[in-house]
Amino acid sequence: MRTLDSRGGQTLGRDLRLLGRMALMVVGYWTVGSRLRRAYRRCQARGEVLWLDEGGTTRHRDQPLAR
Amino acid sequence: MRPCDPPPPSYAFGYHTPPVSGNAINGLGEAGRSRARVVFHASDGRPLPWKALDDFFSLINPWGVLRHVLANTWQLRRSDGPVAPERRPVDDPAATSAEIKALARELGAGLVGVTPVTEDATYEGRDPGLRTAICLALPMDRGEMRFAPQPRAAAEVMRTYRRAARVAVRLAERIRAMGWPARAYGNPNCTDILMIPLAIRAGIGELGKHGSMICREYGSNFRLAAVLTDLPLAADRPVDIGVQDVCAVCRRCVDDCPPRAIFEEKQLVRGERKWYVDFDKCIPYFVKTVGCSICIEVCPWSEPGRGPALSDLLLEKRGTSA
Repeated sequence: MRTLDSRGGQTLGRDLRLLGRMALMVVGYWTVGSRLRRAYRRCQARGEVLWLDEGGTTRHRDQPLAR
Repeated sequence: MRPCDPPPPSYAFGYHTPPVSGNAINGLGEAGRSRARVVFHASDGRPLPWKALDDFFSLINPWGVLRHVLANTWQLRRSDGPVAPERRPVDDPAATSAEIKALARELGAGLVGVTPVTEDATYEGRDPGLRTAICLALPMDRGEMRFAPQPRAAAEVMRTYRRAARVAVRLAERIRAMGWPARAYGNPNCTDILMIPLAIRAGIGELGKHGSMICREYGSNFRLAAVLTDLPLAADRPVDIGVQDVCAVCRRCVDDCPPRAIFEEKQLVRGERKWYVDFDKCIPYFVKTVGCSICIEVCPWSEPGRGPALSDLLLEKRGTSA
């Protein structure tokens, strides 16, 4: 059965917009993400905490997310 | 199965000012009925209370996991689309239901169930605008999931979501070609509906102590996707396979959960007493291990081939003691 979604035209713009968003995701993963992953590994190695709501690290503590 | 080298529940990430408790957002302890609120994971740009942790989770995922997320995002672009102008009439919803289920299985679904979309299975402020849900379940590769909570298991989770979404997208396309509106939902575009309440009502399985579903065929070792449609279909009924009998006495998931997030008793959540997992304890560990999955893999029902025998035994025992 042929589906209607295989029609081109109007779907092309949608697909290109999505491709653009996905490209941004990939760029973000390899730029911001690389820095974040490095900082996180450093915190893990030093027993510090990477604060998610602002910069800087402090001494490691258990259950840092507990209220 | 034992968890594969689980790390301790201590964290090198945290909040200076923690967001409101995820349990409060989820309605833990609330006696009144209300709709679910989004707390974590939403791709539609809505503000999330735990957004910083959600972003952190996305960025620490290994590339082997993220590539499946990207592929899934790409295929879900076809979740909705134009409907054929000529509508195929439906005289017998039961026959159409059987036909759609056979089609879903042919496309790759393991289990298929149908249920009406009710308000309590949609998020607050969301209305998908379609009245029937076709729930799809696909098993994960148990050989890969044995590595939970290591990233290798997370990759298998996303791979299965990808397969499930592919089935949902193709099924939705076929229904639209019949002249009926249909929209596919899968990870990560599931922002309107709650898959688990729908799948329980559609007879896929029951809610287990670990807050995930358990079905006869795969235990907890499966993932869900759905198609919402207005195609008239006969609804299925919830099933009783004996899960509540087992979960009432079994402690495997409780004991093997490193952050001790699983409640031993059912909790009152938005006016309903049900199994519940402590969000504030579960999610940090889930993030640390990029997906954890320990509870669903240590579940006795997830052992291949055990579910049908266990269910038959329990129901038979219940029948003889009644």
